[in-house]
Amino acid sequence: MAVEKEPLLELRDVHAGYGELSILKGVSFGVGGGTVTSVIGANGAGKSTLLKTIFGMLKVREGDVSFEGRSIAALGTVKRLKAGIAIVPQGRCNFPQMTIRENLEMGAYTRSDDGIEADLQHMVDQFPILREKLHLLAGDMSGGQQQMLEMAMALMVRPRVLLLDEPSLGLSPMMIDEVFTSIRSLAEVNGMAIIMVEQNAVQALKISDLGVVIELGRVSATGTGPEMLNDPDIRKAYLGLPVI
Amino acid sequence: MVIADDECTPAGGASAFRNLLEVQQVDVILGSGCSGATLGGMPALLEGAEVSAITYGSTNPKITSAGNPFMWRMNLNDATIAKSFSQYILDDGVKSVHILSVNNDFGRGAADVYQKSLPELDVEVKGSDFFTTGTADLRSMMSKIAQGKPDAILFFGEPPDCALLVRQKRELNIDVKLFSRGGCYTDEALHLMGDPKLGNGLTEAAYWARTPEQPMVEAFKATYGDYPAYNAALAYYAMLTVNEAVKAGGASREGINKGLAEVDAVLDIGPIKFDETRQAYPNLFLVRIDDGESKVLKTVTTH
Amino acid sequence: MDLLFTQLLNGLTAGAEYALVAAGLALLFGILQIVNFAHGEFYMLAAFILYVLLAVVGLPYYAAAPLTVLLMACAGVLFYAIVISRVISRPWQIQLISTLALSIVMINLAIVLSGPTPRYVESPLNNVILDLGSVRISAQRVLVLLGTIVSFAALYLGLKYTRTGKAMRAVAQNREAAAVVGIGVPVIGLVTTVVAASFAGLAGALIAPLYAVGPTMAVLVNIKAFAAVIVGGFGNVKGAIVAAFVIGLLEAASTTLISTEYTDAIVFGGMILILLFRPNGLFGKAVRVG
Repeated sequence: MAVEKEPLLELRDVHAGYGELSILKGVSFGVGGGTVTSVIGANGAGKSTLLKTIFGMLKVREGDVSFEGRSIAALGTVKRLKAGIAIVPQGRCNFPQMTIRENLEMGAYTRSDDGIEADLQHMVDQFPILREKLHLLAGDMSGGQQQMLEMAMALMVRPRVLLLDEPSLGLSPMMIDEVFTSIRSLAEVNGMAIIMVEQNAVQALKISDLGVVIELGRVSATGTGPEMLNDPDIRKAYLGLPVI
Repeated sequence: MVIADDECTPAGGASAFRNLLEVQQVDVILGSGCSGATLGGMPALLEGAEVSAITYGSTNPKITSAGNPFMWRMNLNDATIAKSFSQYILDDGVKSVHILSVNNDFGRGAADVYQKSLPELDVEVKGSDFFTTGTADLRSMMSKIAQGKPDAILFFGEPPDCALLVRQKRELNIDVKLFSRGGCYTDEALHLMGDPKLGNGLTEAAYWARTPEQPMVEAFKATYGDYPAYNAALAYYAMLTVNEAVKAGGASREGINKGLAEVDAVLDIGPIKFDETRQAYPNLFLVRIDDGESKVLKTVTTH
Repeated sequence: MDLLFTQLLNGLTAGAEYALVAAGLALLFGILQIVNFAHGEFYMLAAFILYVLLAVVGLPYYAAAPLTVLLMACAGVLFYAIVISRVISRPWQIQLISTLALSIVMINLAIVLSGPTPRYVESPLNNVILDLGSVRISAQRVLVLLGTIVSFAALYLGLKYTRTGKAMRAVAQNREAAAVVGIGVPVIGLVTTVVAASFAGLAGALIAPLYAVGPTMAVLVNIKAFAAVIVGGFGNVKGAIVAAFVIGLLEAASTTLISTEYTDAIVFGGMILILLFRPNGLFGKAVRVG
């Protein structure tokens, strides 16, 4: 499962932050297509900031982000979406007064090709729970269903890189298993690079090709999922597991 | 001469009077022209400055009945106007009226006065309604008034409101006589009617109108290009009144107040002599809109 | 019975006027979360533009009215560039002060430029009175009603079915989600401001001939429009429009049945009652927090 080919997305010494507050202070790693990457770290370490910076909601102040070998640091979110980078941020990120169908269509807002309807059908095949509710308002669905919807909205972009911020937050244990299974299959079947930030680090690392530990805005360790799960320091500091 | 804006409201009058008395430290105040602003401002006169104020346009009877020794009124008040105007309305063959007034001190004061003076002459008051100045739509009010079938509507309001009344009365085809106070006959109102002929037949009791006896009117037009508005004309006569007072009592604050009591002049708008309530009694003008123009029907002496 | 029909019509026409002004207010609040205290003055500006086109330029009303709407759309672009774009992501206090300041500046500029005396604007339809049996109404007022219906239908369809309309609704419902799916919030802000200003333009072009044009002409109608926006559920455009008609009808009813003296007290008392029982307005939904 190791990453061998030229990375699809690469970060080199990325600095970013809000106003005068500097959060990322030099982050470097690369991810390839068809892989899942878990970003772990303490609260406030800069995990969500990292995803927002990759998506373009925050400016890269120093360093570079490149996608398919080209720098995208200067591009806005719309151009990054068109290039194939999508995000499912933490918290409710749908349009509650619109129907599920309209929400999915809004997911494809940056697209102008005629494959949208086909993708929409494909999406309801993949998330059957949405099919029977296409004409219901998103705001009337349960939290877990809305999470599914948001994932489906991001997939409507046909992303090459999918950024997930806490995809399992607030879900039942059964749902969590389901979500992780589908994340793994999305990466393998569609060849996407998925980068996720996850509190549930143990389960996330189990399905990850790469683990990245962020500490105070810098990468303090990287490794494959199994390497991370067996690293005594990481087990102790981030996974809450006994040291073997 | 310094100017203060009273915004034609009680609060605006209070702050304008205070500004003139305390900041500008004037020796005499001309104004306000609005009943509400005068009522709001006049208590400030009692605070020791000894400055007199002369209103030339406020008609609410309370202004002179309040007993404020520094508040003078050189224009007619609504109680005096009502005596002549009510009689005129009766003589015009009107048996019933509905009163429609602007909801401020002027309109409320006037409505009170006529609700007493008309029944004394056996003219029935079918109802009394109030509107907020600047209300866009008087139609629902007029539809209701029309339902009571009065012979006439007696209107108290500013020129723009009156123009609306006239236009919407035509729109609703309400066929009643119109009597008014407040400026229905002014150039401003006629202009805002769009077609001034819509006002035909309206009679207004005015404390000022353009008459040939006033050389000031043509002189004003020669200088400024337009005829004076009623406030401007009356302010001019108020200035002449102050001049008389200064001649009688001197230019000090105390002198002006004493002098005003002694004024006994005949101006182009009639006699100016203040009674014990500091109210003067110049002429009343009955103005009729005829063929889209305001014409003075008659000039009535009031004292 | 005649009185009932007459008052129903009076209530509807008054409501249409409030609704035309309220629509722009609700759009700007609903989509951009900005309370535009200068919206009434946009209506005043439109009325003055109409006056200048008619009385100074000498255009016929049928040309001047659409041109007024067009010029107000341009004014909307300026408003966006000068004010809205600068405050759109600032705290609400700054938005409030900036639009309030614009309102004061516009009123006083109008006083300086035109004097406090109102002016009359002529529409040929003013003098055409339609006699519908027991009810009479000027053709201009019918035009206001028709204009209201047509423009609101266009607004509804536009918001419901066009790509930009959907994006406007999306920004209204969740600004962050809108950015995530790639909706350019500044573009939507511009479009929304232009549509709101155009509605003020339509209000001025249609309503001004019925009344007089002056610096403070918008003050009262603006208060009613604000009431409609609040009662309709903050920022709910449909709610604001319905509430505007409710206010118009309520005024006519209380004038007829109770007293004109208390009309405003009844309308605003009703507003407070509605808010007591439905704090989010007649049609408002509580904002969902994720």
